[in-house]
Amino acid sequence: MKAHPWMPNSSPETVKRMLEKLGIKDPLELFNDIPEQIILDEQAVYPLGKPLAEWEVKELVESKLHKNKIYPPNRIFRPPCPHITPALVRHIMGRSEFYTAYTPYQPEISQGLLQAFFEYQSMVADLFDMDVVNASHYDGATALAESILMSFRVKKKYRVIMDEYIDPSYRAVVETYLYGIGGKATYVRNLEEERLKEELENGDVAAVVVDNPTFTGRLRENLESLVDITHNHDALVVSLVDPLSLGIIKPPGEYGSDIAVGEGRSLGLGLNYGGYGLGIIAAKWDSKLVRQMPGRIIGLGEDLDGNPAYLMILQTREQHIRRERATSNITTNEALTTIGAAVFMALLGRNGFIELGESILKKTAYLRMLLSKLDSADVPGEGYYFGRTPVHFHKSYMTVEKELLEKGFLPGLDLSRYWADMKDKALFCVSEVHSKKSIEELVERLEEVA
Amino acid sequence: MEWRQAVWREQLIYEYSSKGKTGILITDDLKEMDTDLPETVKRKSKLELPEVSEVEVARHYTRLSQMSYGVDLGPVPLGSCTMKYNPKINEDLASSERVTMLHPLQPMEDVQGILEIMYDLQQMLAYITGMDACSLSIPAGASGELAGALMIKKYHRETGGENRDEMIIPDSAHGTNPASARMAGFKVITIPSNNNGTVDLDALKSVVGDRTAGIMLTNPNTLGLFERDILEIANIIHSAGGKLYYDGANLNGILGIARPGDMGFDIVHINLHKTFSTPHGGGGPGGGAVCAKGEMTDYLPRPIVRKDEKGYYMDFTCSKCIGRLHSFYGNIPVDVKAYAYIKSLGGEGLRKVAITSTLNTNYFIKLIEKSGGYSIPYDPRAPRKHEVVISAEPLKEKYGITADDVAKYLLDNGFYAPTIYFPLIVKEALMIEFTESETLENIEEYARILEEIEEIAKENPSLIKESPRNTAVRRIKAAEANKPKNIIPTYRVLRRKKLGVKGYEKL
Ligand SMILES: Cc1ncc(COP(=O)(O)O)c(C=O)c1O
Repeated sequence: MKAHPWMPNSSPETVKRMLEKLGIKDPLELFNDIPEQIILDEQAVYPLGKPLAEWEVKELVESKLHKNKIYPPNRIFRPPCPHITPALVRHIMGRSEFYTAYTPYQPEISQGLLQAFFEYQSMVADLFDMDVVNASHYDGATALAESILMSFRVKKKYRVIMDEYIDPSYRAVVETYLYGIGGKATYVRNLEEERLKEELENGDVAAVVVDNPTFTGRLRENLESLVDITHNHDALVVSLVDPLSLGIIKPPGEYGSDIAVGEGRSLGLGLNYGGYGLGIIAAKWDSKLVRQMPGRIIGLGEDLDGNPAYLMILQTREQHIRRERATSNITTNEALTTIGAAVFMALLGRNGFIELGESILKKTAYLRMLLSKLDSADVPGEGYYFGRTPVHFHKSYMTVEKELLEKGFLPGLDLSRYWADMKDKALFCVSEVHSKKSIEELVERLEEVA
Repeated sequence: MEWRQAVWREQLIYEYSSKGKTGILITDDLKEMDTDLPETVKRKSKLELPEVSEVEVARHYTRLSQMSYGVDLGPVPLGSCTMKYNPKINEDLASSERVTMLHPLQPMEDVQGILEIMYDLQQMLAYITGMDACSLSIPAGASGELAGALMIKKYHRETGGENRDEMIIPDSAHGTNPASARMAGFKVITIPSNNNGTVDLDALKSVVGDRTAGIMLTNPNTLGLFERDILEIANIIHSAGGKLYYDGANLNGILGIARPGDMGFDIVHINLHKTFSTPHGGGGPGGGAVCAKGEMTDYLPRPIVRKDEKGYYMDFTCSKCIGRLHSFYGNIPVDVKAYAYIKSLGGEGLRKVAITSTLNTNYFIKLIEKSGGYSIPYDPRAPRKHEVVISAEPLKEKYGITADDVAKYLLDNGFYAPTIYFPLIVKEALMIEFTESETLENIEEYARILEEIEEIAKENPSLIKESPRNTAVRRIKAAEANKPKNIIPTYRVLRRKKLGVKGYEKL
């Protein structure tokens, strides 16, 4: 390899010119300050393979990707559910003016990025009925973890209470973060009110996490009561919500949440084998909370001519200024996905969020209704479900799962993987991508195998 | 060439709204089902989202994109950020449906292709850094730092070092290092740099002891200088029972030339969105790996991709591991891009990256080293690696022109500014990193503009102070926007302020 297309100055001619200017013979002289015993020789890099041409790389990567099996979205009934991914979302995220940019540390030349981030924050704020939204966290789980740390700093207490049945991957991430600062988590099954009060009596709890819908899709009907109990014990409410539900379901601000978090993957971003995530963190208009928020916040200001201009605000919370006293170490976030989510939210708009929410609500109810008619399974739980439902099979779910996979479905998640007392219970999801017919086909297949 | 950015004066998407419009068609094949919900669960407040058509959304965000500036438009020599070219083939490969439509909880048999790519990437990164194993289950660099700091904490807990609560960090370190150490519960011990801009060994010796958990180092450091005493530093820390953590956000200066593992480091984190060419996306999503050597590999975050006779699988088993830092496995499309990048360049190409980016840095230094407006603090004759930090202090003293002013004037000339005021140990710091992707012509032009600033400053400094003029807006009144009474983080707060809603007067 002489010159490489991604390295304009790598041709022998240019290298020669540069070396002459530097007065040296070999570029390796620029590495003379590295101790000799740790300098690699040229052969050391050989195991990393030879350079490949573009078509060779394409062939190589595609041959591997080809081994991946993909399911049509309407055959996937396992959370996290697939959702619509409008083409425009992908196209705007694919604009290289956006995706090849860095964090807008120079706001004057980055107004487009900043305005898009501001619009993301604004639309999430309206959806959540909260006032302040940060410019993103890595994913829902890390957003929850950092919100809990935020509540600890605000309350100067170091214990959090969560539902025992909270999303197990969220639980795992929260516990990793708690290990760092020495915080504690207590789990109360279904956030049962009497138990919750008992735990809060101690006075050392900074926050209660209220997930709605719950991990298994149930909509809580005692939100106000949970909030009252929590606030009466000098603790904060951290709500964990599904953004797609909020066109029709009570948003966190309406029942007095102090902090609200969610996973924004469902806002048009697609599954991507679990990443990109989009961690949403919102807070109400309270200086004590906002000054402890992690991550970037974009604000609206003015330029010297008095034109509206966007910029990063409240930066004294961040690592590049505050170092070890920063509210978080987060730097790179999920910026581009917030632009995708902004496009999605703008497309959907007021009516779309309501229609989409109703569609998911109806499909969930329809799936539950059909499942409840099966002899071979029960549908536990009463009340209202959004996007997910637990199903209790009367025979081994492992067998059911295997047979459905063979029939081309990705069926519900085996809950006994996470909780020993959930034998033969599975969590199914359903969304706007599932037609009535595809739901019926799923239940027919379940009837055949179970 | 005169450069000018688009000035769209684009209103907010909300201001395009008019009743009844929609940007998406949703069909309903379950008309027979009702949607009644009780008051206890139903949304009551009006949803204040805009109502706009797809056409308007497309135009609005396309216009906004024209007021954004990235590597595809011109040079972004931001120090510490490694803004290299983002190869388009990588974007194509990562947007294959066999990536975007993969469900994270599919059976392992279904996902052998992506697991193989992840496995190979883990192996290649381990080789590049001289480590034994890597985990890709982190979403960005800072998350990798937190992982590393937690691994050190857990290691000491497991081996009777509960009292080791101090993390040593040089004053030149990136802000994420102390922030991450703190999130892992450590006390941060800052040590000063010596006159050569590297770790002061006496200062280091004076702080190590039986409370030392470890050290977090960047090498080459943020000044672009290689820590020549690295083997001795490793010896000092290891002898005291501590561990060495390497901030490998940017490996551009040593790729294929030297490896952290050979320098004595125990843990490394890598930013795929710097060294390995994946785009920054205006601030994310990034991708990363955290890698470790020897006994430290047990502590890596989960899951890790492994291979046995049946094929590739995600290993979640964890006896000493620190747990998980992402709800799934990190930003997967980024892994695909980084994999394609390494395969494209091969070993020879990666080494060429280090050589070319280092050559670019030192060529640039040669162009400006005699200038009167800028100085090169710390050992000016030592070669820099991936980046260089120069100081605009002479300009400031002579003409009152600050690093910020220099940055804004560069914007006016179609160059993105350097990273400014970092590292903190350099006054009026301009941190410049061209990477291997920049052309000779642009490097020369950049140096010429820096000189031009000095010339103009002599005659008419206000001309510099008034820049930028060619960007979408002029200088922004940041201090004003940060006053408690002026904070506007969302459109909703703006609406409420305009309506005079009580409680919203100030933050
Ligand atoms: C030296 C250094 N360390 C750590 C980081 C943090 O990486 P990330 O932004 O991916 O969290 C960065 C970049 O922001 C960096 O330049």
